[in-house]
Formats: sequence, structure tokens, C-alpha cells
Amino acid sequence: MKAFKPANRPHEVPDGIDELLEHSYRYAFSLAHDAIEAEDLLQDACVSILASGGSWEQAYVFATIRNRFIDRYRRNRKILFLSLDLEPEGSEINHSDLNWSGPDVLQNGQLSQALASLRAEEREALFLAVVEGYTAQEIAGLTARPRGTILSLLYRAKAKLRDLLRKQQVLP
Amino acid sequence: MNTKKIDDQIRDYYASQGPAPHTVARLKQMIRSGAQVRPRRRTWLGMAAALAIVLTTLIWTAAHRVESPQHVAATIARQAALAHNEKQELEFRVASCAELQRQMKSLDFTLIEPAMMKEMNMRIVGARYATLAGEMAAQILYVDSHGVPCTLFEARPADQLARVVAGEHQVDGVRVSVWKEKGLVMVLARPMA
Repeated sequence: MKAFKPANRPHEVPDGIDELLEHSYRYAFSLAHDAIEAEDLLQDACVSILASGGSWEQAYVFATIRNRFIDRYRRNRKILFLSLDLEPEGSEINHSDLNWSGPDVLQNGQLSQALASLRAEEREALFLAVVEGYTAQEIAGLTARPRGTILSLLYRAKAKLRDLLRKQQVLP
Repeated sequence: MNTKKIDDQIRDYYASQGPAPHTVARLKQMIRSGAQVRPRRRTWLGMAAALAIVLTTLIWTAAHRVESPQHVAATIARQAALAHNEKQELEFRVASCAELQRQMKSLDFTLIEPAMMKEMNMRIVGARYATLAGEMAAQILYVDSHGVPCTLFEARPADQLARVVAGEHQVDGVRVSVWKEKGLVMVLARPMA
């Protein structure tokens, strides 16, 4: 996992803070899939870390953002994180099978639409694995889920994306 | 048509997302002045969550259609009422408006103390950064002599806020006043008498 050097003094801006804020914003965006909400989550997390004197390491900031996200949706009585513990855990999955090639759909927003249709936990797992390059074991540690559940989430997210893009007639 | 691996497309998609420069500047400023941040009161967390959702809805709506001035006023009144009821964490605790002006350095306007607050003998408690109809705003907590809280939003009258009309609204047991003063939009939410 990436680690950013903590500040030497309590209120010194940590080294690499710009990069950390960008990564953290993108993680918040992967959860909320909404720019304004991602900024709010990031701000809430920064306030919380300052108030508690917590660490500015990426894993800690991500965990704080995640807790804020869960808190606010619990308060609004929305259920976004559903337990997968009762489902069969994914066996070792060959993710190269799921990294298919297709038309570049980024330009016309179809990928954004498809990602919006995923559950927050599926987008989160996908983001951490594909964008941040975390291993399933690291994601399991960060999100307090079994590794097998993370593998299931990743498999399911990719399969759903493929189905959604097929429905949009982007993929054959 | 160009083809690309889906993983590369996902990476490109998230690489194209980023916080607004003013947000990064504001957060860095907040981290620098972190000493001023006091321990949170849990009750303020809910308001942060609710306000974010209301703001998201508000900004999405604003981005997709041009609202009438009355509709904009009604929408920000609902937002202010919800924020007032939910309570959100304060980023700054101050004893005067002048102190708050010094601390909220990332605002793109200068805070003022509305005449109404002086007339009502309201005491300032603290504030946090917020947005109002997509514009950066200060969300300021006041209490009256009996300790009853009021929530005041101040923002520059840009875009939709430029067309907002003054008026009184009643939302979920909250009385919301909208007006302009010294070039700023003011939205005050307080309990109905």
C-alpha cells in the first residue's frame, strides 16, 4: 500500500499532500460516484483526522472516508453495503479473463453510466484493485472483509460492467 | 472505433476525476490551521451527511434546468432547514464575527455580521465551509440568549443565487429567512416560535 510521510509537526502539511488529496478524492468518488459528495466526504475525513490527530497515511485517510460514507448513508437509512458473507466465496479468479478489450467508451459517458449502476462496494473494490493496484488481501484488510468476498466483488463488478455495456450495445 | 482494455478505461476514467483546485487549496489551508479545529460533536456529523445529499440534489437540479427565483429561494430554504435540523460539525469555534473572518481564509468573499443578528442579540458560536446552490458558503451557528441555535448561510450572489428573491419560508418546523445584505445572500434558519 502507498504511504505518505507524516508531518513532523502536528499541523505541518504532510509531504505529498496534493497527491494524497487527489487519490483520496478519487476513492471517495468511487464510493459516492458524485463529485460534490466526494468533496464533502474528503472534507469530512480531513476534519475528522485533524480533530483526532490521526495519521495522514493513505490507508488511514481511505478508512476515514469509508467510515464517513457508511455513517452518512446509515443516517439516511440507505443500505449500500450488503453483506456477501452468506454467498459462496470466490475461488481464485483469473482476472485476465475479465480484462476484455472493447470500444473506448470513456468519451461518451457510457462507462460512467455503467459504473453508476454498480453497488458502491463493487465500485470501491474495482477502484482499489484496478486504479490503486491494491491486492485482494490488501483490500480485505482495508475494508474488513474476507479476501474471498473481495474476489467475488471484483468478479461480479467486472461481469456486471460487461453486461451493462452489452445492454448499451457497446460490447457485442 | 478505438479499442482499449477495460482496466485501462477504468483507470482513465478515474484519472479524469479530481477535486476542484479551490477545494484542494481550502483543505490544505484547513490542515495548516489544524490547531483551530476542536474535537467534533457527534451531533454535527448527521448534518454534514444530510447537507451533502441536499447539495448534491440542489446542484444537480441547478445544472440541468434554469429555476425561477422563487424556486431557487424555496430550494435553498429547504436546504437550510435540513442543515439546521440535522446539525453538522463545526470547523471553527469563535467568539466574534471578526475572528471568524480571520479564520475562514478560503472564502471568496468577506463575511459580515447581518444587522438582524445584532438586533436579535444572537451570539456567534462557530462555522464550517459549505455550499449553497453550488456556490461556496459559510454556514455559521448562532445561539440566542436562551441558547436556542440558529443557522446562517452567507454566500456570494453568483449564478443561481444572483436571482434569488427575499422572503420567508416555513419548512419542517423551521422558519427560514432569505435576503441580501451588503452584497451577500443571507439564509437564516431558526426554530418557529
